[in-house]
Amino acid sequence: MIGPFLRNRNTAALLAWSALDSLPVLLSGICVTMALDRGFLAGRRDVGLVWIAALGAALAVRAITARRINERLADLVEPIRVDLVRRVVRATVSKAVREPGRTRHSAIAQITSQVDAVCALTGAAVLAVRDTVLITGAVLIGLTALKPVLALATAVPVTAALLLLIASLRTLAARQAATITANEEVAQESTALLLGLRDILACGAQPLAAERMYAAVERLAGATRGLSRSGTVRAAVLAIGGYLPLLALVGLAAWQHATGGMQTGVLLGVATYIFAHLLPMLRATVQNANSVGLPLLITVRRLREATRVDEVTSCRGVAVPAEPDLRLERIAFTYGRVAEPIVCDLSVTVPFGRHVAIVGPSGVGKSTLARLMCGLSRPSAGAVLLGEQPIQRLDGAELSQAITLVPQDAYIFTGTVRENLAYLAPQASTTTLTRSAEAVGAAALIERLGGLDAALEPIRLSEGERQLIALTRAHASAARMVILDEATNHLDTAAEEQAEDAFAKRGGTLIVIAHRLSSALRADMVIVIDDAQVQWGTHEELRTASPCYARLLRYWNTSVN
Amino acid sequence: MIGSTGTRRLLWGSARAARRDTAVFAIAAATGIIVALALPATLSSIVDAIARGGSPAPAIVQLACLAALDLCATVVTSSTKNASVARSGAWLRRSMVDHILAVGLPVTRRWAAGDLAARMVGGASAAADGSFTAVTVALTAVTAAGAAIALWLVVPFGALVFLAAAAGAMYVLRRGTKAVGRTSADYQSAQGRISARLSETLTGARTIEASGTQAREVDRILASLPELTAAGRANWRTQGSVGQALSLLTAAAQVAMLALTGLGIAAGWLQPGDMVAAVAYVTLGINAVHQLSAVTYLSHVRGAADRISQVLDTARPQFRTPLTTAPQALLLSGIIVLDEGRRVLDGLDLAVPVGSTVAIVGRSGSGKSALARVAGGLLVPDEGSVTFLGQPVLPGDAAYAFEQPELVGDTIGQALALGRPQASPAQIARAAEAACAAGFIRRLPDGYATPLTGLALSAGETQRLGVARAIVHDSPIVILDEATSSLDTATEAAVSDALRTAFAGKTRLVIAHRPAAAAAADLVVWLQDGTIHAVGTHRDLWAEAHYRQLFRTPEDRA
Repeated sequence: MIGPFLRNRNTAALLAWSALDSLPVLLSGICVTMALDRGFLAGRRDVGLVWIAALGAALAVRAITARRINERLADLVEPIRVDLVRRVVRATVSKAVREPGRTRHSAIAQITSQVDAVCALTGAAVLAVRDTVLITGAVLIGLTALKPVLALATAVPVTAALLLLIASLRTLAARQAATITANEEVAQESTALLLGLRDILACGAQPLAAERMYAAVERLAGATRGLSRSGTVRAAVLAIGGYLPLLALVGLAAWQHATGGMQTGVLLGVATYIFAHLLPMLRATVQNANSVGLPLLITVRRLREATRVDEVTSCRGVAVPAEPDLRLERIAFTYGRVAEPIVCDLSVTVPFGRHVAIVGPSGVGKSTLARLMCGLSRPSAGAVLLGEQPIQRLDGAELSQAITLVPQDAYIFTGTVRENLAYLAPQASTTTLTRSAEAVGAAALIERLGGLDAALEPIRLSEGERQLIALTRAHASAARMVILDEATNHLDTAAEEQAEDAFAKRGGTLIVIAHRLSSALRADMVIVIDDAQVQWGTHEELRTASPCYARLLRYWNTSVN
Repeated sequence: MIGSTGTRRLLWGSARAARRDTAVFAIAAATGIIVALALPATLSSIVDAIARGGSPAPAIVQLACLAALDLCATVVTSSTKNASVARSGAWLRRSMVDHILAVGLPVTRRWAAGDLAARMVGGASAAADGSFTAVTVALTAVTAAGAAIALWLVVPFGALVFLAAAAGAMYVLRRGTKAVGRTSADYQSAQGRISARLSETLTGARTIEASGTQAREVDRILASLPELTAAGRANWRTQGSVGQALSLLTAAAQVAMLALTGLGIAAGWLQPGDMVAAVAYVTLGINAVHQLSAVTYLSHVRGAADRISQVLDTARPQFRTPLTTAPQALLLSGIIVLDEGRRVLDGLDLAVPVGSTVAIVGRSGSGKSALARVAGGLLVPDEGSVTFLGQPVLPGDAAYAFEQPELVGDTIGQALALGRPQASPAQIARAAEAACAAGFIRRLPDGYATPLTGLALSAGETQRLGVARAIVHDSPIVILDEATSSLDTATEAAVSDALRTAFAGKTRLVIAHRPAAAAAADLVVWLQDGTIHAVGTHRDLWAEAHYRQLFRTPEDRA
């Protein structure tokens, strides 16, 4: 995800400015040599000072370019930031939608900090690589100018040292990744410990919990110790790339001076290149490889995993029929292979315009049935037909317009009341919205909130108020089939009745997953689910035909009276 | 000044845990600094020896020795630094775990789980950096001072140049930190807006899926992206200006040093080697000054240690001594529980005879939950004692089923066996059957081996697992705290029937919200404002209108 940016014209601009940046390094040895041999040591102070001033000018130019380089760096990194934030948001939303309940809010914070890290580290990495390449180049050119044989004696070990560093990166990266994983494990375990503390104490499971935490803590400590490998690599790189050329220099100088082959100025110039530039550069390179390169590699890898989205290709499907009947034909649904089925061999037809209630004990799969009915889940066997067409062959965008599923947890977002109400029908007029609000019983709430154009703060709403807004939204939509999945469970019985009646009068098909049995009394048809057994009929038919329905009815009556 | 005595004690403790590694680290790092200070002088004497025509051999040997020493120091600092961080970090984390488990619920009332986890992970990491960071900062200061002294020895006037450059660098760094602080505040607020909208969107996943509005949501979340990247650019610009100023200062110092030594060499009072030494010292010194900004990290360390010591400073509860007699009851006497000054339970006395069932009723806020926690040893009262057969009740002595159980463990099976890890699969399955949970467990992908992570259970399903866990726990005391409130009436009736069999003969305390549960108890205790308002059977109390009102749900009232 970074590659393309490194090939564009911003990179070229950065390199051009960087060439200026490395000029002082290139000139340093030469200027020192000249200042001494032609100037200070030859009794010409003015010449010496002129050479030093030349170096000073190059350094001043570099200082001025420092700012430019950061601007080019921003040009390079900021598009990466924009791209990454987009990817992260898109992937998080798409994952949350596909696997609700899986995405933790803490994951968002983690991903955001990873985006920041990638941007900061990319900038630092670009500079680090640039410095390593340009300083090595400048030093080698300068050495060639002063003492070609030493250029060769330096080029070989420096190249070897850098190759060694690159070769060791993979192992070092694996170790850093291990510490990050160990850190996350401690985070996970400690969150679990703290969230479950009451229950751990209640079960007297403190020793068990402590043992689990200790194990995670020890694994982290072990992983941290494992990072020590980098010290060995650092030492090897310094030894080969820095100290070897330095010793070669002094050795050669000692031997050549005896034969009059090296002037003092040249010796100092060469020493400047190796001692003042090459050694510090190597130290910085190894340091950067550890503190910039490895974290960057690892963070990019993790972000790539976090933002990987299997692109869902939504091709245009068949048009949704105008007034379709909903037919379930011998459908079955199972989670996984070994699990017992939730729905088994169910066939039922809901004619268009009918009002249906689905009832059953908690947790038998009523919501699953609702998802199957609007095409969000696919049955393991059998088919769901809308009109004559299998539901998954219908056009996706059109289908989500035609069917509205209102879940138990109402989605309210920060924005105006109008934006929230018109969520499913962005073109809806004020009259439509107001009428829908009145119909479902949300008019008073909207007035209290300050009207349609008032700002809405989700946290200020109670669960029941949130549900009223979600109901108004569904009522105002163009959907021809509405499924209320316990969408009124936070309303009182009277408010629930008003809302359900509003939907029944609205026209189109209405399917209510009932929270209270009173919903079933209002429906034309009732579907009862109990342990994968499904029965359907009118209220009167079922009270004699379905033992489960009779049982639900009996308990409901005793709790009401 | 942040550091309280607790913080200092904590930092001390974590440093002590790693004292050997930190000591070796300090020695190795000091060696590295001595090498760094000795290298320019050695190189300078080699140059001078060669220039004078003398023998550079001893100095070259010295150079080789210094190089070898530097390499050793590099290897040792790296390994001891990591070992020190590992040891200190493990010590801090273990201390926190021990303390949290010993203190129990008061910890979770004060801090959110995410907050505590952050202290345990990032906080402990930062605090564990304390000892080696302190050593590093101290040694960096020594390096700067050493460079200044070395410079003074070589070119006395050069030391002044260095001091001027160092003062300039400190000023630039200070201003730079402030400027970066300003731009990052803008950045963080833009980032906060994006995260907040993203967070909000996650709450509506089901609605968004059903409405096919993903793309619109993404656009809404990204509305602040231009501000984010503008702040990002401003950040780079600020960093650029700081870099520019520092680079100018270093350049000026280096050039001044070259000119000075050049003139000195020409005048004959300096040797050629002094030039390379002087430039090296001034560069070494200025770099050390830059690195001194790491001192700000120490306040970060102290802040982290402070946050950990807040947790460790919470008082551990004191359990009372056993009674001299052994009454055949779960006995609560003189219980007072305070919450931010309010008396949640105010001098409550209650005896639940062994084997009987007592229902607790009362409005919300009357102290029911506090009583449930105190009775099973989960919460140690501020005053009073809880004993069973004369022995103090400790956490784990009572089996609890909560309104919102938290499942702990890797799998469903493990979560059910939390109170009795040695329970057999058959026992667990029987308990799940009794709690009406076996049906939906069988429908999960891997049955009892289904991992808990990523499992979206409904409130009712979680409650049934909580009840099953209490059955597996199998303690003489059972406390049901609204344990079946999210079940539909039919399932609740089935679960209640099963519980009567499973918990037969146990001493039971039931927080009741439906009349059926109160009716099934031997005795009903009616709580009001933290004290007992009335005690009697459900049948007797039912005569009172106020009592009947306790069982009306908001929906019935409307």
